[in-house]
Amino acid sequence: MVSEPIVIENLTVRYGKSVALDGLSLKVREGEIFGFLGPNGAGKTTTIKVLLGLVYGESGTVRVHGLSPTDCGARRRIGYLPEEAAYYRFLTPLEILRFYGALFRIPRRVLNDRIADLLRLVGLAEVARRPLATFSKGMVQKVGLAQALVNDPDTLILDEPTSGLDPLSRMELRRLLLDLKSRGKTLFVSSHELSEIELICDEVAIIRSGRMVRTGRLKDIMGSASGVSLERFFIETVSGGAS
Amino acid sequence: MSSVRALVGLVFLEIYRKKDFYVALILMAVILVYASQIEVYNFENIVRYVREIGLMLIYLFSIFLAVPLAARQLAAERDQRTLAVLLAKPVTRGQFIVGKSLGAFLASLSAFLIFYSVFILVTLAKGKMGSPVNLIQAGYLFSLSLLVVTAMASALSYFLTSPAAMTLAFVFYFLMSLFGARFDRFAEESVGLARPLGKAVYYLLPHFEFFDLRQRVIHDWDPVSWGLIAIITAYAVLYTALFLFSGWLKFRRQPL
Repeated sequence: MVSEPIVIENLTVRYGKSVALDGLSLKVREGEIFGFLGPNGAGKTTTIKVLLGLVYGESGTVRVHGLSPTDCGARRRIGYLPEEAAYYRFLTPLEILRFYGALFRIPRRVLNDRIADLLRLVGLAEVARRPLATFSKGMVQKVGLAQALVNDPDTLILDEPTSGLDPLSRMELRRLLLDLKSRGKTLFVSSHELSEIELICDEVAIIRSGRMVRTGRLKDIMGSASGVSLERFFIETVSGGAS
Repeated sequence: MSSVRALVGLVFLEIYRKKDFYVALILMAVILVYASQIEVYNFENIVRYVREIGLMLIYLFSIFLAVPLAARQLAAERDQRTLAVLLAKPVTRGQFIVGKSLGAFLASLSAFLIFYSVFILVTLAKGKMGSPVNLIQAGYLFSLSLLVVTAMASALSYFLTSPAAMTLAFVFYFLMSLFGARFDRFAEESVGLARPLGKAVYYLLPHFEFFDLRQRVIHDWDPVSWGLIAIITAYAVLYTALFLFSGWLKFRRQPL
């Protein structure tokens, strides 16, 4: 069993001449919620894409559950919720979950039971047979969350998971993420909602211009920052005010 | 394999949940029924006329459904922002390419078979269906041309934008269907750059005219040999594999 499901060492990614990630290293411990923070353009989405095997690093190593991210074995153990959730508008939530479930080769009976549970969990059971084209942004985000969980993943990668959700749904999502953590899942959460991160994360990493600026246990970091909020600490860190 | 099957199913749902297919089907049925009612020719000529109009419409509608369907698969995944989610699942880039192209082929094949059945019903209603072997061979070879053209449109979409891939696939298809056999002679008679260009087109592009047996159905000529059908099948499979392989070479490490 790998105790660090996500390991990145000296990762450099370039898009043409521009450097998106510059020698980034981080480790995510199993069963924890890892907050990944940084200003716009810092390289958060690129890091997530590397973890998903969608972008290739120029140098450095990346391991997801001990495997290369391009290995389907690694992707079998991951759930991914993108920042702007968008799914096939001509399908219903039920069909979307069946489609994604089929990609994981989940036996039909197990998949049907899991889909029913997930639709109840995200509150979409009543509208499971309605085309997605008729859904609000918040409802689509819930479909996104359900698809991220369809394979019962060991590790969840969430890019701005609270985007588009109302306060009540945010609270439900927070509860759900903490519940997943209590079941031993590892969560990698990229977010601008620092108050959310502060409430749920065990460890955080702050990046700027593709480089790691600060990483550590949230309580240690906040302890060293003598009682300021994470938001204040983040602003000072990315603007160069904190060491 | 299950990933490819799931992708094929997705493309099927896409074609049958959009209006294009139903518009083409209704239009074709209306034109065929109308054409079969015309009484200006003698009986023999009406049958030929219905066959000619019918087959031309079926081939055109099928190609007009197949090419855009194949060419827009990658672009639609990008535009809908579903590509990253899909490829974050245990789906390789190769499976994506094969699944999408095969899906476009099978979906357009199913549409073609529905059109073809309507055509056979209308010609049967006129009392003369023609040689069943000719109908089977013509249908089979046109299915192969759908296989090649969807792979070609699909491969082009990994190099070009979706509209450009679609346009080029149509140009290549109609160019080779209409002038494929004569291209070599055109090239021989050309001068300057047109000559090697014409030769390259003749030898590199698939000869879609090989897959067209309409004249045999229309005029009730003898069927072609099954050996020739086997050779054309191998030709279609080879071109399909080459197109999909070239798409994979381009797409396999493309950042998304």
